[in-house]
Amino acid sequence: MLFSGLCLQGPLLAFTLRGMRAFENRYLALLWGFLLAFLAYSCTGGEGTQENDSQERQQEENNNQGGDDGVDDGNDGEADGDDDDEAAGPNPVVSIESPEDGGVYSKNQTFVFQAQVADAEDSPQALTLEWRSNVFGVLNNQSSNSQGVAYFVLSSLMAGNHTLTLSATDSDGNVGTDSIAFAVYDPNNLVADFSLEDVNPTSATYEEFVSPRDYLGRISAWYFGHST
Amino acid sequence: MDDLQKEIVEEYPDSEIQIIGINGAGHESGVETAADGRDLPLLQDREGVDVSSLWDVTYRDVIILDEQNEYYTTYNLTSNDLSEAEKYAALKATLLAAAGLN
Repeated sequence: MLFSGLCLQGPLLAFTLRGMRAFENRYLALLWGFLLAFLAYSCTGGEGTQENDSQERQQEENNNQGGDDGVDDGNDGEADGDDDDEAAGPNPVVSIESPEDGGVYSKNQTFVFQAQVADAEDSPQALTLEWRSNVFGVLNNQSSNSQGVAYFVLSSLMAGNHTLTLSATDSDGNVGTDSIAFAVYDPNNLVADFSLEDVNPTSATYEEFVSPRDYLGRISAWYFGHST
Repeated sequence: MDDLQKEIVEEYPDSEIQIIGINGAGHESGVETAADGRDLPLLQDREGVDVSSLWDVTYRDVIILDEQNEYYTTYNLTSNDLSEAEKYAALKATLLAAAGLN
């Protein structure tokens, strides 16, 4: 405000300077000259700075807006580009054939693991395979044969409810998976078995012989009563 | 028990929980009464099998087995009358816990 007010008076001051020169007062004229020069500098410099600041802020805002947009767009573009790169080509096809999904097995029996794998670009042997159980961890990493048959055998498996997943990864990083679930029990810990006839005419298992082993892999509650 | 089974199936349709009744050996005459209005399997025990002795159970025991066919726990319905809401809820919670559902 001060500088603005003084600047408005600039022409008046210049006129005054000329008047004083008429009186040939060098020293006073020199003092007024310095003052006028200072005011002129302050007015032009201040306005220039404000304009520059404003322009810089506007430019900065534009840059920021443009920059943000640009960065976002760029990132999106990059992400899309990466996704596109990662999604290049279809995932390998994986199908577990053994053990049977939903099966129930004794822990000490022989377990045959077999699956079929295929990929549109890579040969079956080139696929990186991983058989993994949620109970045990990684079971096997052997490659398939040229026909795409992945196969291995275990002589026992930990008791528990297994979710088995086979994943196949091709050279582009595409991953195909298949999962099955099966139960493995410890025969040494089983309750004593029996088999009795279901005599309830409205039961789904009427006239069938029912055993606790029929409920392996499930929760069973056996109510012992007698009716007279 | 029939109601409990239906309730579990309704609330947890994917659950693998089955309640089975076993009628004591020598009480075959009561089967019709025991089965009336119920859909649960009702197995008739007999002297040659004698599951009560085989599993060393007490009258009105509910023996719960886990998915590995291993003993989980026992809940006796004489000491835990299912007509009491708390007892009913406790048995239901025990079954769901055995199945990993609560």
